[in-house]
Amino acid sequence: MLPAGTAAYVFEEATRRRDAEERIVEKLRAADYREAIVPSADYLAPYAPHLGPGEERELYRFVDRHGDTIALRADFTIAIARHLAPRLPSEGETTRLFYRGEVLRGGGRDGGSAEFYQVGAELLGAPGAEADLEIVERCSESLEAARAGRIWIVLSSVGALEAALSRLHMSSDPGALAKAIRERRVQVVADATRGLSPEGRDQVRRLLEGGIPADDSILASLGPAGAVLADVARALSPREECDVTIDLAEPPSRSYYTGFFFSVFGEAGGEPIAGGGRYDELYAAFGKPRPAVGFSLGLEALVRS
Amino acid sequence: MTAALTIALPKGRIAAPLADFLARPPLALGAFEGRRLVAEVPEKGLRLLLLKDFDVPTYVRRGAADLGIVGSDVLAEKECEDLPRPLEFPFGRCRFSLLAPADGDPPPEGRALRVATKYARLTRGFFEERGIGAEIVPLAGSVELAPGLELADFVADLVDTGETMRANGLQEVEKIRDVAPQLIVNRGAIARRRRDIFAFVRLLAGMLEAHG
Repeated sequence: MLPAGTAAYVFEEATRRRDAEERIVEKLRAADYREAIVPSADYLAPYAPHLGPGEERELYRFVDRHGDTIALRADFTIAIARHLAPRLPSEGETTRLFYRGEVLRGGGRDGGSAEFYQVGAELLGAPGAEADLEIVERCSESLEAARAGRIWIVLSSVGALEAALSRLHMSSDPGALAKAIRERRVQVVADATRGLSPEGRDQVRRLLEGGIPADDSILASLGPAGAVLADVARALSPREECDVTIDLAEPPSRSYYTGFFFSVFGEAGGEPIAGGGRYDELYAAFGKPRPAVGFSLGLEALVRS
Repeated sequence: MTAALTIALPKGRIAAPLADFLARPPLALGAFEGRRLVAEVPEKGLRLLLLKDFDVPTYVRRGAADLGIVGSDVLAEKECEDLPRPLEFPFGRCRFSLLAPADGDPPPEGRALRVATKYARLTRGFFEERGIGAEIVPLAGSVELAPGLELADFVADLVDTGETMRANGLQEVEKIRDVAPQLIVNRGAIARRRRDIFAFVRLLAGMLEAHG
């Protein structure tokens, strides 16, 4: 018996996982990313403000002999920000780093995993589409190194769906409509948008179904956030084995994302095999304001699929 | 040629009204034959799986099926309400309720209430929200028998017409939530087969609109 959501890897599976990890790390090192190692357990308090309610519930935590609450690592990005911020060079410089190791997220809902072996990379100090693109490219290259097969990259941006809806000047609550669109609730959305012009309804349909082209007027209306999505989509699109779409209804996987984010799906399975995004406010909370963007992937899903 | 869309269908309570709905034009799907649990419908580009209701969200979340149809009771119990849910169906609706013996004495004081149910998570949540201690007696079916055999004080189960409930000497104490069948989609399938998925959703939405 093993605790729910954990698994052991032996023989070929263990070898495949280590080999994939080594190939990814080799690529990241070649792209000038340096390794960061952070503790696998830490005080909960510095992390709590950056976790959504669902993320906090997922933590494995315990009280140590001094009475402090300790949480097992559930995410590398916050841990790296906390430990790296005091040592960061002066503003204006960029820092590239990568990490690898286990994260534990409890629940193991519906028989799913609770322990994940993650490899990820972060680019600090660089705002804008160029840095976002670099991270998506490192992610896609890492998946290729892991022999993930064909991938589908879905691009989105925090707040973009709400911003697009607010431009339609609807009487109904844009927050409720955005939620219905994220849940892809065709009937609820159709009912809520009956009063719109045919063009408005078609725009809402594009938001719900996703697959928004880079030259779509919806993106143009979103200002810099839309321009980033269009730029990244254009730069990525002409590739084999990699399909890129913009879908503003895609939900962000972490609550600290502040702008551009993406999810990557493999040839099988229902959940993303990798993902990433921009978190420009996280480093300020640890005393060093810094734009930041990163990605992570779970090796188990790649090795098993 | 594109691969078939795989749709997980439930064998349980809503199977009959769902089969009637799917048999309508333009989809016009035939019934499952004999004991087969998978049916290929190449002319419609579909593969149908016939599953236990509680397995439908698992197949969809893990990507073994692109889409599925299942009650909102099952989605809530299996913590799968985060799956995309494009459509809700007008048939097979009912309510999830707390039931008690119609002519029984009030449950004895001084011990936790015992509640028999197939829905342990939903039932625990209902009592926790009210700050009432309850012992859940998890059963796989025929839960209506439990109070009569002193296995439980209450039952938490689906009530449709109320016939089964009354036939077993129970009455409805409180509705916990409304239940309706939902179309669910796996997120990976949306990324991989966006056009096919939403074309199928629109086809079903049109059938719902045409037939009320």
